[in-house]
Amino acid sequence: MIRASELSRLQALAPKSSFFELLSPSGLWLLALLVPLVVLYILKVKRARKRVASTWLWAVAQRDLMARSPWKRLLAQIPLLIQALALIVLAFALARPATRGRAFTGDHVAIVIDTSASMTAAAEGPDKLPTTRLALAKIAAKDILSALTPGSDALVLEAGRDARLLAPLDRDIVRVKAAIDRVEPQDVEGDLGAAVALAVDRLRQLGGSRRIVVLTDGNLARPASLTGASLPLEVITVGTPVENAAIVRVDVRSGTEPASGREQVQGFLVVANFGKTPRDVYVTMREQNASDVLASRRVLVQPGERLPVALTFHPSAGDYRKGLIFEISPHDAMPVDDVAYGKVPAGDKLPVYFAGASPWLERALVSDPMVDLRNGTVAELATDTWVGLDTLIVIEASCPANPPGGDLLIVNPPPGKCFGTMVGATIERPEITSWENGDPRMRFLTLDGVHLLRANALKPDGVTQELIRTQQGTIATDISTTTRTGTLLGFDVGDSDWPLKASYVLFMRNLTELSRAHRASGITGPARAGEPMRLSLPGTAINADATGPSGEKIEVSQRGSLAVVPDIPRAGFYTVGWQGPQAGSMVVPANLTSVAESDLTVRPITADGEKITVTASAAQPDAHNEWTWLLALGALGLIVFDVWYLTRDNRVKSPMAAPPRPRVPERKAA
Amino acid sequence: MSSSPASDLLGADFVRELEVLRRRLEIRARSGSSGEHLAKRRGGSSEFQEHRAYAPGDDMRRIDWAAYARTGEPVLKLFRAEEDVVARLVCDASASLGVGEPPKIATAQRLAAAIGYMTLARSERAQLIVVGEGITREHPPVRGRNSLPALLRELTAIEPKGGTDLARAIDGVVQTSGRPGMLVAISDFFDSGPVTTALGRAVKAGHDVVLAQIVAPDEIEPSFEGDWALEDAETGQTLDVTMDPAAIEAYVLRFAGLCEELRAWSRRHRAAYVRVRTDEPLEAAVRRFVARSVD
Repeated sequence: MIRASELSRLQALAPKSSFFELLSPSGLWLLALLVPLVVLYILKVKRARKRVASTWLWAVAQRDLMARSPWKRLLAQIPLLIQALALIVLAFALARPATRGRAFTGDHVAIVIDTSASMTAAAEGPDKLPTTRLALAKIAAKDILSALTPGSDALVLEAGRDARLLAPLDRDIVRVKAAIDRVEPQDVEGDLGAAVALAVDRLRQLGGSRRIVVLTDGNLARPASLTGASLPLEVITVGTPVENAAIVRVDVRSGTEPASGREQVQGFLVVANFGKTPRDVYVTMREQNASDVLASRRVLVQPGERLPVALTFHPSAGDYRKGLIFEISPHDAMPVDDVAYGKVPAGDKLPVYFAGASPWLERALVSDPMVDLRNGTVAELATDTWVGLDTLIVIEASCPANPPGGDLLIVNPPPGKCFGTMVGATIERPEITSWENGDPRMRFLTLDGVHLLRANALKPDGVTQELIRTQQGTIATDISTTTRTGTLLGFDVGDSDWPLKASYVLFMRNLTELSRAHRASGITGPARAGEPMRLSLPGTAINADATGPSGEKIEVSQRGSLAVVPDIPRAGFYTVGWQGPQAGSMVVPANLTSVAESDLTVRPITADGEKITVTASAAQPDAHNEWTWLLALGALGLIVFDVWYLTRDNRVKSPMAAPPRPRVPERKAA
Repeated sequence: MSSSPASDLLGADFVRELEVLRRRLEIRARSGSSGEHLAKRRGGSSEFQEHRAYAPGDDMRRIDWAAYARTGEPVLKLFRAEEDVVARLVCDASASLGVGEPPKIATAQRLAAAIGYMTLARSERAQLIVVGEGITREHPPVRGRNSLPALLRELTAIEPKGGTDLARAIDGVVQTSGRPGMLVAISDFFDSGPVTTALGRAVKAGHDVVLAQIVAPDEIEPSFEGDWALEDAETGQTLDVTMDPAAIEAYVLRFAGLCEELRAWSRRHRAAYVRVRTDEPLEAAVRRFVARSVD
């Protein structure tokens, strides 16, 4: 008697890939037609009456004279047998019976399927019907599985922005194929490198021959990701080059119409044509959940051109913070990059709360016509409901622990710890030696010629946080947190000639512009599909949740006022809500906007001496020998024979022409 | 079912044809009385038939002395006797004769009228006997052309109805016939009874039997297809058939068997067998009748 453990071991050892299989078993449903076919033969037909001289001679052709039920006896009639056989053969033909063709050798095979956005591009299937590149990749992956030699096992990896294991090493081909069926495309820039690395990691410890097969369209955002694998790579490309136009950049800003002075929402797009022929497209802008077009333009994009397009509209108060959809039409081979998403900024004027007394600061803020300044004190700041998530907070001579609002500027704080930076002793007449040119707050300005009377020495946690350095030490640091951009100036601007310089105005404008950018997006950085989405919430926010473009619930990680949506595989609008004293929600647009994914032209994968072989899926020999055509031919033959049988001439001609072997009718006894 | 008018039974052209054909009509029956018709029995009438060698016991008066003088061998001179014969027209009037388009009874009436005309034109006697499940009506024999209108009226009065028992009817005719004659059985012979046995008894009684089978084209080659409930014209019984090739083949074979049975019987008893299609010209059928063909 075999024990259960031995039995399971034997089952695991048994090859699951049979020599004969049905590629489309659903075709066997046609066998259900056998029931009505038989019913047709046993159901009595309604007969027309005909008067004849005598039924004596007809008795030989008598059928079911005694039957009274609506059914008659099922006779083994040749037409029934032929028709049933034809139906069975046809059902098996539709089920696509196949025997294994080429054999795919390898004890352990890892199949990596590219699920990046370009895999949604239109393609032509083996049956000449329109499909997608991903569908072709699935077919190719299943072909590989079907061609596996008995005893081989396979694993399947999905390569989107990150790698994901869909099916661990398994000998059960049916289970692995089911995992392949679950593969869905993502609106993301793909990274095959992570998936290949994971595949290598999974196969490294195994004995026997190991193979990694990558199924991709070759439109890789990171072409170098395939190099460096320690195991041989086989890349099978799917799809053919197609022409494509896409929105590759999108930005929405608030501004003022010069002529009328009215507030205006400006959508800036870059439309790129990756094809070889000019594309005449309409670019439209509309609000989320609305069909009315707010603005549209017809543009002709030349091959290879990246055409900037600006669309504007005058918002009303109800439009603020609503989603905006930008679309080019007609759509083409890759619809996902024909749409981009934005958000109406919350008003053209940036709210700024100023808790201080420096006239220089106030004057610099007021000089910006697009700033809505509110004066107050640090004590009032905590309770002022005017202060929102996007309010720029400017605090002088103080450093509160967790002030509300958005971006933060602290000027001349008292000595002590302030947002991680130690405010130290006063430095007399410090001389500015350098500043952080690459920081957005310091761009376009120079601090040459700026003289300070005194300043507090600042000691940030890290060197990278230093913004302005003097011979005596740092006097300006970056105190940004995960949810807000913070700037710390360790001196009173009134103790310098900086306010008299243009660089001071530029610095303040840079601060307000940065705050405006954050205000426009509502997030701490640009949201791109495939990347984690970080959001700043009120410090009192709890129980944050998110809803995806299709209404699906997405898990949100929240730490304090920072919320992170870790996985956004789709482009579209994400709605993030939170609870607490300042409960609320916001709409966050996420876009693909990837040149690498939208460019569907030929980009050959170069091996560069690596152990990589590249073949097109169309060049792959069939993994199966399908017998569909043969069975279909057989079914056709049976149908033709049935038709001939039912319509053939009488084998016996008229009695006038000497019929063969006539039978004398039976007579009653004399 | 309306009968054919008397004038429609024999048209002028048809009568002219019959006038020619009546001269070739041969009745191989003996009635016992003298008449114009040549009897099968050789006798002493005035029409020479043949010589035969003298045998002891023969009538010396019949020796052809002239021949004896020429040849030296005594031979007898034989003459064919002239007898008065009657043609009995046994016409089936069962309901099965009412089937067909045109109905088979019309063809039967016209054929009986033609035979009757030829008989009467030869100054022979003709007798119409209408049969069904026995003898339905037996008209007295008539003679001479003057009797033709009466015969035609009797024919047109025939209504097809009821069942068939042809054997019983023929036996009845044989029993009621005082002398044998020509017995023309006009029917479709769709009768499961012992018809041929009865006909054999008629031959044995000295009757010159002629079988005239009236058939419709659909009965030879059924042209209808599909599923049918066939209703017997005589019994009213229905029979469900599916007219597939197998069923048609079986029927055609069985019909051919019936025809073959009648044909074989006719050959065996030196009777004539004429199968008359309702869609063929009757003149051809009458010619075959006169020629005593076996179809």
